[in-house]
Amino acid sequence: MRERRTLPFSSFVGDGDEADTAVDADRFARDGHWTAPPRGVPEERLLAGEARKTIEDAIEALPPNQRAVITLRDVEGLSAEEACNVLGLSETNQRVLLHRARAKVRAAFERYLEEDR
Amino acid sequence: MSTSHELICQEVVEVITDYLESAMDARLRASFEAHLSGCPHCTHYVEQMRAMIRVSGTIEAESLSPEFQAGLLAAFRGLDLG
Repeated sequence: MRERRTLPFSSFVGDGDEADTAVDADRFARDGHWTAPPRGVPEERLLAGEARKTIEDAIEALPPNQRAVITLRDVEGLSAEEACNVLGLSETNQRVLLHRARAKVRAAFERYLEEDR
Repeated sequence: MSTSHELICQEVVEVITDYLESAMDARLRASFEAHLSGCPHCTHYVEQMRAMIRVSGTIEAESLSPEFQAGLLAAFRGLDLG
């Protein structure tokens, strides 16, 4: 039996990742407001090659479909339409995969930002 | 009805991709932007996302592992759209 998600994006693309939320639920209160909010991005942390390495590693750790979409879109700079054509995806599926990919890579990036803070 | 749905933070992080992809209808976009203007936490979330995307653009595709590059398109052969 497949688990059902409550978020609207879930049912379009099966990649074994349906139960994921963009941010861990335990960072929110029951009313949906942040209890452990994200903080700002210090520019100097972006310049370090470490930031790029962190993101690179996070991309490589993604499930293959998500990895393909975020690589074409955010690394190679293809448009959504181009990525859909290359990968044979519908617009919606492309966006679902991009959403999941970006959520995970951002989480890794945030952990990097929070180091030594 | 002129009042639009008020987004909460936990919803913002789930619709951010639609926002950044300009795939939102005008009403939801207005709600999203209204939320951001009153919520520094979600503004930071968007800021982190934009910064991550910006840094991603500086990665040389060649630096990604060969295994990955080889598997890039092959991955989609097994894509289950059910």
